[in-house]
Amino acid sequence: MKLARDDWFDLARKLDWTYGYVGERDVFPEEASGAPWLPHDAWAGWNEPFRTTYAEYVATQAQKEAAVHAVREAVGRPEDFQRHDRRWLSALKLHAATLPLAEFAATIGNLRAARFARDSAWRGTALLGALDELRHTQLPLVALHDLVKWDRQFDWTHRFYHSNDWVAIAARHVMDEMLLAADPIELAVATNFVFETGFTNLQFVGLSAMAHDVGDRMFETMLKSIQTDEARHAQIGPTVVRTLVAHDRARAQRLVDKWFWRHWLLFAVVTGFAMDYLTPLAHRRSSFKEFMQEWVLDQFARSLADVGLELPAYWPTFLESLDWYHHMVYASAYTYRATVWFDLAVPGPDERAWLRAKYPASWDALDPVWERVAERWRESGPGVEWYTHGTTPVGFCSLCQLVLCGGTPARNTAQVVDRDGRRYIFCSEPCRTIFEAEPERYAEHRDVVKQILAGEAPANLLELLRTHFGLTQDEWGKDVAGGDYPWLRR
Amino acid sequence: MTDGVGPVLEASDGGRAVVEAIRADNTGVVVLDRGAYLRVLVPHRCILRRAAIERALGRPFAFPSDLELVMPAFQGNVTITDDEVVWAWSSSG
Amino acid sequence: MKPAPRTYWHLAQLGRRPNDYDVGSSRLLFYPERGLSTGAAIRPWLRRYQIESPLQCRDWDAFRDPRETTYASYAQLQRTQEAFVDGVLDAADDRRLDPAWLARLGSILPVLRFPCHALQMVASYLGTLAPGGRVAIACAFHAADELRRVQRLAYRMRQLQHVDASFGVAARDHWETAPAWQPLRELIERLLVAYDLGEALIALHVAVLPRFDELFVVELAALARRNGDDALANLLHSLGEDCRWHRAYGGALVELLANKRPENAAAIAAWQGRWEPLAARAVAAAAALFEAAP
Repeated sequence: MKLARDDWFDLARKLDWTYGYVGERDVFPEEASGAPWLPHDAWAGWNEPFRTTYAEYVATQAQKEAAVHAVREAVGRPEDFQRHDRRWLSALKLHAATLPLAEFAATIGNLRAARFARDSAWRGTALLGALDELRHTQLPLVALHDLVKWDRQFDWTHRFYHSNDWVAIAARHVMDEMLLAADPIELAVATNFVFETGFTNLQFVGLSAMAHDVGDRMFETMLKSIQTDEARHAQIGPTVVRTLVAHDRARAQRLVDKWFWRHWLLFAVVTGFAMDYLTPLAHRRSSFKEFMQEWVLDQFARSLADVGLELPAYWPTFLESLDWYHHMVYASAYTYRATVWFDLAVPGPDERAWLRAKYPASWDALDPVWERVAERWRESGPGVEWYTHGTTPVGFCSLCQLVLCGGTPARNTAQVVDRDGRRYIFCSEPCRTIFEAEPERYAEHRDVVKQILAGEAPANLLELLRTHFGLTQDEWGKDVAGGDYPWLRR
Repeated sequence: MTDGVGPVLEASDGGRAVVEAIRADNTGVVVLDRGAYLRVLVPHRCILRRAAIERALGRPFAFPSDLELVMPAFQGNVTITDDEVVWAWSSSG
Repeated sequence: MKPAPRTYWHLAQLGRRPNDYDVGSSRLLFYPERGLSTGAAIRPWLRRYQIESPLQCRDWDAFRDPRETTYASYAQLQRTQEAFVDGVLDAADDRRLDPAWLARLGSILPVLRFPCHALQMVASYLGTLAPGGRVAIACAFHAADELRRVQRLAYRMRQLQHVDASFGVAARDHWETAPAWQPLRELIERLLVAYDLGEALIALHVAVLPRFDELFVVELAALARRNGDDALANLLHSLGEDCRWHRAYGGALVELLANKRPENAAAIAAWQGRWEPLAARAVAAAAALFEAAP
């Protein structure tokens, strides 16, 4: 007799028992299971809203894999990628490097939850999440592998997290804390609640919509297929947060505040660059800020209210940075493009008009930066990369590890803090607050500048990016057009 | 729509059938067409019945697996049984 | 001039065209060689149970899953297995089963969900602690196989409850108090807190799984067959395929580690000496549950 899922599933979901030979705290120590430590009774009501059996899981996932595979067979050859605009390929390289191995770190984090989360149903859901993240690791690694022989920058799809590149240092700083080191409670808040219901939608659905408009069916299909997994396992988030709020509201609020800010900075770079600069203008449907409004602001604010939490105290700062932050970092990255593994573009007159229309509050102050860059290219002519490239060392934030790009061109928000005989510098008030709440987590970390000062990395820029970052000449970032823009020739 | 809930669906035949089924059983349905995806928003509570989607598609449809294939995201808390999917906020916000 | 590399940087020395398993499973972890860039409560844990484990290996990625399981191949394989099991279970006519068999099985099958869930936890633990991505991947699939086993036991249990409503309703109580289960419960609970990477690995793969699976998969299937319960026998046969792979990858891993350093072989022998008697005693006690079976 065939059984309906709801008839039998609970018999497989609730399997905690009262330990007799060891203690509950031995099986679920706080350092592995997370704070606050509560007896199992507090978690016994844990229910995943998105109920999926193992049989359904493998059937659905095999179907998804087959669908992606079919598209890959049809349009996944190197020559299919070669057809795309070089800027779009740059967006692809940025995404490809930052995601796959981070997804594997998420597999590790979810496996920890599959062992140490406090209810059996939660552990089972986290286990399927761990498998999902493995899929998100292997799918892009395999799909993009054949592009390496055609374009060495795609090698960074795997190499990025093994490198000392400054972006990799920043990315590891987030991913190590969020995925590799996190206990199941912090993991659920940081990834399932904040990341996967807001920011990954932005990256995976928003960017896949752009891939659709660009005509990149392979990337569109892969991103969308990945996000269908996230939509399922993200449901761990609210159910954990509710229990956390009931027992330790302050901790819940602090974790949400920390992780929203950390994700915002990271995605401003990864998604912000792609949406406002690297997607060809003709294929842009919305700006990064508009996508943020649709996918993060509306939805996240409502989700917070729903679990009984407040908007982070820094919300006005965040709203203001929506107009500035990714533009500031992009300008900085363009100026230091040889330190990254993808190419960057100068926005031309049409793009600048578009950016002005999308960012009326900030663009007039940002535009002169690009006017100066264009002027330098006019002076040097195409191909002279170093004439528009920075040479002096830049500073990095002691928390987010990204360049100090808080505020506006006229008002940088960097803050210096002296503590225990050491000097720390932060790009913004929220980064400082996060650091000061848990200095023992962050104080020992050393960014590129500290490594240079310690003599562990060369101070000369060219040597730094060759020997320390590991970028070869055919890999390091260049101007996407080599400065040869039609609008510059007049 | 600040209190809107509902799925985000891929713009495929399957996704459109879900939209049709939601329209059949809810009032005030708003569908935003974003090219690659369709965002469905219903004030406060959105219900999707298996019977309705099976009528729209003319074939069996299983929750949540067949829905998962066409739904990259959604807004609101979801509750899924063998026969229906409900998106709602638990507080009135 | 060197020819342009045709693969990722870390696979260039492979000497052959990498397959999907090579590409999708090699050098996926970046933290073991670098350390974690931020401190957290888990740092001392990793130091104690992973970095300072008596079991050491310089290159954990030297491990190769004999089945070369990738996510795509796993989903496809298990989809087929689960479709087979669906067919078997949904066609079962359980009303003709002997009530004496149901009474006996009711004290075994529903209880098994608890230790199998614990095996899922231990495999997950090894996955999160393994310093190599390939080992972590095998552990993740193993843990998922245990989730499969738990769910299929639950499914069968519910089917049999439709014949006999009392089937397994006291399972948790049995697990916590029935004398025949207690040595196994003690073994499983102690296994859950065996946090050292090497000890957990050896205890699970060398001491516990071979004995546990022999009794609760192979022998239980034979017993089911003798009692006309072909549905259960066929289900266990399918679950046994998973167990065979666990033995294969676990065996390959233990062999690799034992051959790496003489100190490893000594540590493995010490853990075997500690865990094998416990496991043998626990499984022998549980085997008593079978003896009264028709």
